[in-house]
Amino acid sequence: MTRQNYLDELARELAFLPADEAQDVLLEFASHIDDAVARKPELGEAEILQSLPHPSVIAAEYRSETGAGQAGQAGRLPGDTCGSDQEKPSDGSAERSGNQRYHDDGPRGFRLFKQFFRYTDGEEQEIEEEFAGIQRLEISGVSADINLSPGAACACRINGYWDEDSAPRLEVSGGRLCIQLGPNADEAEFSLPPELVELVIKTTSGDVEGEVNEGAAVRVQSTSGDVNLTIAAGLVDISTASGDIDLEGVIGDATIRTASGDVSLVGLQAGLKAVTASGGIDAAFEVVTADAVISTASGDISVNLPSDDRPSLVAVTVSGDISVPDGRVRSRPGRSSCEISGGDVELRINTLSGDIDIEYDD
Amino acid sequence: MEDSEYTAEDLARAVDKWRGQSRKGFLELCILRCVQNNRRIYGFAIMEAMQRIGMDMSEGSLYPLLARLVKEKSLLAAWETPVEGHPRKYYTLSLFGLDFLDQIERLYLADHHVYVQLSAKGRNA
Repeated sequence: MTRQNYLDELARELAFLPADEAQDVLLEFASHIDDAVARKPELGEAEILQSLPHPSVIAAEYRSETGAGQAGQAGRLPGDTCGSDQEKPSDGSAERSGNQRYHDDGPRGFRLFKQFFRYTDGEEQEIEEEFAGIQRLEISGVSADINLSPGAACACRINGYWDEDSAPRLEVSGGRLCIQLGPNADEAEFSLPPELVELVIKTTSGDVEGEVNEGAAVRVQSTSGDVNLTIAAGLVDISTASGDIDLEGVIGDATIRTASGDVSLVGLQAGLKAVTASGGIDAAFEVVTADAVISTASGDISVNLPSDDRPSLVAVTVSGDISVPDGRVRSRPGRSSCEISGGDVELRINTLSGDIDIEYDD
Repeated sequence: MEDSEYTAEDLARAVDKWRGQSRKGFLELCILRCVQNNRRIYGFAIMEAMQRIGMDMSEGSLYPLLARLVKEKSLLAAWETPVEGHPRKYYTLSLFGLDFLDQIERLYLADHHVYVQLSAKGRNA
């Protein structure tokens, strides 16, 4: 059996899935086989394919996991593998029409497949534009890095290798500028106008960095991109799945969430809610102006507090250690805690398995 | 029937059945945790990572499970093509996935804790 035979067979078995889903599965198995062959070159393709589950087993698992297939199975009996594929005309117009499902046409499905293996070969493109009166800026990107800086007017410069379909889209309505960078932008620079009120950024793997104007509310959502910003005054809401978050000079209330990214906050003068699963959190407050919560599942937490106007403190860890100057740490199996009262506002810190380290400025 | 009357096959079948029932949720927990640990990772690398720590997992279980986790919005998936090499589908944890993992991990650890206490009691008795 060759790689192509295996994938053709799998394509036939996956006929019950919508075409785009089946395509995705085929691509993923092609990628998997490439990885397996590259990792064990001594085995050779045939042996690698032999070690994979039979396509019908894989298809059965997809059927039970995704609950798909009820509609697509109607005309198909188990074992009906239909040997007449080659005689069917591979006419592209029929392919995407109708109910958008594959029939027994494994090889045909591989046209889309090839698109994935094409590399970008166009020339570098650039968009440079200026806008007036923008109060709300929304940027969504995939892998482009996004660079921000305060400026006299709202302006952007976007570089990348896109074609007509994947070009960035810019849309202005009222005081709102909406920019979709698209999958092929590499870099985007923005100059933020003084009148900016709200900045919303969504990115998959691109980093977000730079400086945001005083007073603008900032919301950033990133999957794996890092967020590295100097921010002053204004609400701040930043979440990432795995990207690190580094913020400096946060004066407004801040909400920070990440799954596995590390968080570093310097020069905080605000209320704070920071939550991570496995990422560590370093937070340095200049002044604690409102109640604050810092919480992790397994990340370590280190907090630096001003020595004047100390907040009340409640720190709890299930299996980690707590270090607090002048604080009495009570430990019993399964819980260490430290409580200090008397402040105007309260800082709560909790973690399951992380350590907590608190320091006061000299 | 007499207590001693069973064949090796009876036992194997019962163990297999138990394993099938108990494993699915556990596998899901492991995969989510593996994605979280690695931040972004593709299927083949997940299999390798799990094999290294002693868990054999077939392609036939892994990829359909990943597909479901994407459908349920615990995982995000994106194709990436490096300058050299073939495209790979990378998975990352979504914010929903993060909270979901956080909760099911607690449930799993709580269950595990119950069993550890139970078996410790048994040994002390």
